[in-house]
Amino acid sequence: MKKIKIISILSVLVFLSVSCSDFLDKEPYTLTPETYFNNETELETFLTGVYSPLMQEFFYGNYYPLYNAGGDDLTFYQRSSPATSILCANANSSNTYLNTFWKILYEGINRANILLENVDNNTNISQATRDRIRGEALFLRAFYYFHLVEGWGDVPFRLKSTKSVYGLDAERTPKQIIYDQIIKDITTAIPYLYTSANIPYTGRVTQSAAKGILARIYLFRAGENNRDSEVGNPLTNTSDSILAYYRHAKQWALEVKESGLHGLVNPYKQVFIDMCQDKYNSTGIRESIWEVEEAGNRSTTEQAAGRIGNTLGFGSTNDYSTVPAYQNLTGMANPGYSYKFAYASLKLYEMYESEGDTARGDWSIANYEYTYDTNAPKAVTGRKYYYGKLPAGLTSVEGYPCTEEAASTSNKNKTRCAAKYRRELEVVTPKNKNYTPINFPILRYSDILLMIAEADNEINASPTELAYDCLDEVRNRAHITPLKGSNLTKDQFREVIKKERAMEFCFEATRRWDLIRWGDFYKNMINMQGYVTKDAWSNNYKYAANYYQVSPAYNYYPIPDIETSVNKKITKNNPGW
Amino acid sequence: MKNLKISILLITILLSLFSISLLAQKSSMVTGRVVDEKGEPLPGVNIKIKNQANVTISDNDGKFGLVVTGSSDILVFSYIGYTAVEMKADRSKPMVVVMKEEPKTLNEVMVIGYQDIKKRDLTGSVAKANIEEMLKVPVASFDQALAGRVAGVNVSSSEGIPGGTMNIVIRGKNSLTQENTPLYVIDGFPVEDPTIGSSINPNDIESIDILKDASATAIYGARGANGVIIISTKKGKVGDLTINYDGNSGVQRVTRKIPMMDAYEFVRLQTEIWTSADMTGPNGYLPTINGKTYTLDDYRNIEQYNWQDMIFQDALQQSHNLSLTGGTAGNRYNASFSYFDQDGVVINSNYNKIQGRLGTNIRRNKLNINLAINYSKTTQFGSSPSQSSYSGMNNLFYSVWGYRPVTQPSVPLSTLLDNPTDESVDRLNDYRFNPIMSLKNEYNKRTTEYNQFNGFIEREFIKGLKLKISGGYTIDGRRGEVFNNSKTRYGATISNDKVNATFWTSKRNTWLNENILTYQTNFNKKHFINAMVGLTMQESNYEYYSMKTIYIPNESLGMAGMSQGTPNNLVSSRSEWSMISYLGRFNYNYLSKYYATVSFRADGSSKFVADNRFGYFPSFSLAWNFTEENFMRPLKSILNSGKLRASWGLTGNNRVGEYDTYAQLMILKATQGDYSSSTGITHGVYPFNNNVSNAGAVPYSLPNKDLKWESTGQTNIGIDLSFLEDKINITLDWYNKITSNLLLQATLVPSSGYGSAMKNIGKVENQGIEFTINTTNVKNKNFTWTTDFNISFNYNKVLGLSENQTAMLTNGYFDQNFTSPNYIAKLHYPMGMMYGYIYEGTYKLDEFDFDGTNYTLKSGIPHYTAENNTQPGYPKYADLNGDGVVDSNDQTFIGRGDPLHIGGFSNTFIYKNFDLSIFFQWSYGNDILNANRLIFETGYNKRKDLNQYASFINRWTFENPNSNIPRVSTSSSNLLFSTRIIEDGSYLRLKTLSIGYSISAKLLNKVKINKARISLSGQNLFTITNYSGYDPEVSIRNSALTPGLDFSSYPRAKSVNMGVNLSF
Repeated sequence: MKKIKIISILSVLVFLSVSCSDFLDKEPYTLTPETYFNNETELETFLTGVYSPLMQEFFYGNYYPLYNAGGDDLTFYQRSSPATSILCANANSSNTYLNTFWKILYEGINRANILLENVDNNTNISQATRDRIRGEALFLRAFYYFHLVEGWGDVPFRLKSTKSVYGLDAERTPKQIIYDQIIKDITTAIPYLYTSANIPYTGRVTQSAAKGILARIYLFRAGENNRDSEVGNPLTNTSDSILAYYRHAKQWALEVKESGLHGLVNPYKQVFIDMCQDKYNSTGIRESIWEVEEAGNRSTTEQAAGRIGNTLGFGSTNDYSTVPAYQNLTGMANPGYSYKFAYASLKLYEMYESEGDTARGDWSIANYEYTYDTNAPKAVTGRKYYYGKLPAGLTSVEGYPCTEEAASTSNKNKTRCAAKYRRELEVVTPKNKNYTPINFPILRYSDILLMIAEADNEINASPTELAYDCLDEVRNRAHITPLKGSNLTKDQFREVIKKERAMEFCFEATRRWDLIRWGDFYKNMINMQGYVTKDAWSNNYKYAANYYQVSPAYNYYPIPDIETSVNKKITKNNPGW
Repeated sequence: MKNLKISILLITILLSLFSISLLAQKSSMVTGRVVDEKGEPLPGVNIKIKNQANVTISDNDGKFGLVVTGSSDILVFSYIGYTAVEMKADRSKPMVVVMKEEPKTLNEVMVIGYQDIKKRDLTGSVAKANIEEMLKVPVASFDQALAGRVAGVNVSSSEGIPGGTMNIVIRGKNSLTQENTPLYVIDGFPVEDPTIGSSINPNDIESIDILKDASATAIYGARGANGVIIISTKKGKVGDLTINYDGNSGVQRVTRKIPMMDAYEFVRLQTEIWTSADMTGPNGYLPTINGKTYTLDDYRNIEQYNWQDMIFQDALQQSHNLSLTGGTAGNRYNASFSYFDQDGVVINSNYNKIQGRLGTNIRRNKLNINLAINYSKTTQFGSSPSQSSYSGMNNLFYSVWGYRPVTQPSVPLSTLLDNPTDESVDRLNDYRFNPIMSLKNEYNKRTTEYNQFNGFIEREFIKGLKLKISGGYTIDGRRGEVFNNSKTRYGATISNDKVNATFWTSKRNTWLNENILTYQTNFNKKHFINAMVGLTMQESNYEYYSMKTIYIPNESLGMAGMSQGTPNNLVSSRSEWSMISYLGRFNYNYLSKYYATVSFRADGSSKFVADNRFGYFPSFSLAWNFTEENFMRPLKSILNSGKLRASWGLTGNNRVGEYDTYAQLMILKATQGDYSSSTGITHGVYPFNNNVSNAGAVPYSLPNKDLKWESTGQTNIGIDLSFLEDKINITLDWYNKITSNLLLQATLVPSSGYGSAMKNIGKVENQGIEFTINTTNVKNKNFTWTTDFNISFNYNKVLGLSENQTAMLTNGYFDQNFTSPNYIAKLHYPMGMMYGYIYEGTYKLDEFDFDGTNYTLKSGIPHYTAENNTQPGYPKYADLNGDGVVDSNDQTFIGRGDPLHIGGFSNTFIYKNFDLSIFFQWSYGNDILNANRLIFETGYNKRKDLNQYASFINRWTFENPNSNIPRVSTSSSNLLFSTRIIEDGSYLRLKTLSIGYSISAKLLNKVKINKARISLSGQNLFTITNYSGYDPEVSIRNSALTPGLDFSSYPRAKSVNMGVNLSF
């Protein structure tokens, strides 16, 4: 009897345990890569995630153009205490702006790798769609790698997605190997991509964008020896390869030109007005080949708005975003808040003055300030133009009176903020204090023209007619003297290009890289101290001298300590860091 | 699903058995009365005839009557806490039976998980909390009274908010990034969520047993590593219906306020911040109006506001407990109802709880059935002032302290109180908001409803062999409602969202089935064996939904008008986990002299996969009752009991997400985590063609199929000594815990594309000593005096971190402008060390060259790197590496977050009908990072009109050049984490003091009351500490890596309560 009882008890226990074979399997209530990539929508949604790093605040959305790429001879940080950054020449390997930029680039690369590995999971999706998505992912991966190489040189190089939490250490791969892959990937991608005529907006990469960026990459690669000799690295280019890179750069840029899809918009400022107003090449001329898209005002959960115009840009110093009567207004009634962190250097100002370039100069550098009434909320009452900057015959804008500073205040001309991105143009309401829908230009047609001119001059040891034509097309749009027929030598022409690029592309996150590839970076930055003691600067912006006291080490960024503290295969930082 | 059905089946069986009634018998009577040594009647004594089934119990007067069959029948009297008495039945006259109280400590029944055991037979380290003493003050939940009561158990709250969850850490923190809270087992039902404590009425608690060493906790296997708190609730008591009422009401007041600058000092400060032109201008503080020129002296004794006085209130608190119990030996019942209501000392904060419980116990022959239902609903109003926002300026006390006490003559003082914001505040950079107005208008309500159904059926099959099948089901439902109208900080016209409302709800359902077989026997009355095997299953599912709308047009409707707003944020998530466990324990003892225990548990969890799904957790322990040896006999009159214990065991911690082993994709629309987070994943938005809502799927986490339990190996050696017939009891334990395969949110190589992942990596050691002594100093008829003292030391050491890491830096977050690391976990040092610069006072005048206008720092004197124009009075930090500048390389340990030792000391006195208990509790050797002082003792970047702590009056000025409080300046070095703001957090607190008077039985009999006691009790009556903030028991946004951070914490209250306890 007892035995029966015991057996019956044990059998109950056994029964209970047997029934539990699948009891511990719980499928997650979240998406997993294994169950994704089934249809076109899912591929597109994932591709959106591959694009996303571009618009983040730590990339083009705010900090990259300001702090990381802003350390050039055209910009300075207008604050009494410096922000720890490349821009203020006080960066170190734990710098947030660099570290997060690094992290974001690799996130983008990993996302692209995952997409490339899974794009063909469902072969029922049309081949054309899969190829186009593959092309965009390939291009973006290459573009992110180019930013890494441009900033850091040799970096960990991963062409497969990360699949395990273990064994993630990776050594630095020589940059030339990475260049080869970047070029291969973009070349592969180009035929798959949309053409600029296919899509109405400019936030997606097209054949023209890929070709133009490829030209930019070749030019930068051609200049690698210049920066390596500045920092004492062994040189990795031969003179033959450099010449080949110029040839490729010219060829790819010419393809864009010869596509006939693009042209220059007149006036110059219209291209930026479009970016501020959420329009894409509104005149019908596709000057803007590729922009980073930002949108909205973050009133929804989606963080689609950036801070272009708010930190780097021009707006009011009064905040109307919290004043109900103002927050939904646009234009000068509510010009949007701006910190105006970035100011134009005296060097840039003098460039425009020397050429009589008002088309670009009075747009790139603020030409007026707002005037306000004295009562809260200090409504805008008009524009006060700096001395000599009031356009002839202009008496009012949007019904607001325009006046001009007195001659005695002409020194103010020399201390003005970067104004390419102007918040009064924003159309999204309510205008947020900090977040803007302003897009950021990555590639414009004028860059294509100037790249052709520059490469052509290098290839032929003197400017050809093509080089002059391209250069003058840009200069004519700016209403400054064309140079064709001026018989410049190769070196003279190169100097002209350097200046032209400064005036055309200031505050577009390219100048620093131009200086580095030309081998001018250290020299130009140190020379800026001459401006710091000059004129109005000596009184107000004495401290800006510190920002230009960079060492040659600044030709490279320091490898972030968030990487080196865990990646033990990286044993050496860049020279000087 | 199958298993759920099984559970339902079991419950059905239980219910049907419940209806079986009992039969009675009849024969000739023996009567009598049971009394204790004092002659007081003992009700509820179990009386049975030896070797027969007849059982009765004594009534309220101790009287009993029992039918006996023969004159040689032996009656056995048993009563918990008393030595059993055997007596021959005497039918000739009423019997008088005197029962003696047992020596309490050794026969105390300890609940050790799946079994009860007498303390005498214990081989592991288990402590019982003295619930009776703990409840001498009214508390909402037991954990609020646990601090200092049990050695090795560190109980603290993050801040003083009513209803705040207590942080309980047993024997030090094992885990760096995961939860360190113990496992709670409530009537056998294991729960990992510490908020469970509040669902139980403290008055319903029969006992709290705390399992500390591995031999005790290993039976809880994968969830035992953080220690286990076993709560057993009261069961029905045999006897007539007894109704008990326990009521309290009292008042609470904030323990201290922080002295702020008064109007005079405030304006004097403004003269150093404003330009003198502004100061004397028409809108300045020192204008000339109608010929009168205001001077600083005009601000002495002027009408002014003290914002702390307005925000604090004397808050009422009340609690009512009603319980009833009764029944026969075969059928007992109990029920209780309680209500607790506590206003916060900060206006518009409240915590209240309604709770009810029903229980019944049926015994019939060898069958024992128990059923219990518990329901509780807690409601909390008001939000924490310390953790609501990314910007510390949004936190309440920034505004309370920062709001100015006085205005310029041109601004009426009352505008401060009447307007939502102070017009002179630069709203762009300063989020000060009228704290009174906002608090009064905020609606923030959270409710938790907790239902628990528990039951078991136990049957003895053959002598000593019992099967117990239990089942339980809990429903934990929570919801939150937030409504910010136009007069609140987050809903005012200056806010981003305008009038807005949020609603969220979550639900966790968990069921449990346990099947335990125990067998107990002995051989020759020498070898005693007790064995247990069991199988348990548990499954839990969770869902969470929330929604938010903004720009609500019509605020008068409150939450009801939520739908009129613009939808803003929707969140939904679900998850589930399950566990299956096999367990066993084998106890052996030889003549109660030598003991050995082996236990084992295998846990399988859905959180882990493949080979790591099951974890195995053994333990071994030995004990030696050395006073039972012959050679100890002579000492027996002094040392009446002594036991040596040694144990080793392995336990686990499984506090990871349900799906951490999987790779996950997410449609990420917003950046995850704090602004400062470098480990969060970048979101996936890209607004093609200005489409704001175009969000991409992004890889969110890496798969880690290798993930497994964190395992803690713990060695414990202890000794228990009782002297002079238990008048002195001492317990001393030493332990060493090594936790390896730490579940760590480990930093990954960023170039992998991921910031962090859950990994089994790293190692932590905890080593400590616990000492407890309980003494009965005096015990006679009229006077009893007992003392309890305990102290525990724990030393924590990090032995390993993420691959290749030698230190893990963390930012204890409180504000977006202070995101540099302020805590460090470094190899070979304790976790949670504070990190920053060594403060050396201010730069003094003689360290500068003075050219008549400018001060230039003498060469060779280090300056802060980000500053190129160091001035006298600026803060000076040690240049530790001697490179001539103070920079991030000069940071070091600046404080320790965890105490060196903690403890409690209590004395109780009983004199006739009076009782008095005094309980002190302390923490020694821990530091506090008082982040408030970064803002309120620096002038905060010369921020205009921001009031400061009174301590800032003594700041450095040219007139006060020896001060070591930095001058008013915009120096960024003011804002560094340094020893300047590290304070000693040690304290000694008179935690409770209670005086009671029991009204004599004679008087009570006339009004048919059994027992009545009135009492007066006080909590937190005084605290001895050097800490300058509200209270040294503080740790906002508490985590293992960032202990002891204070910023805008809710102050602590002291309270005084009147209580009455009646029993009918």
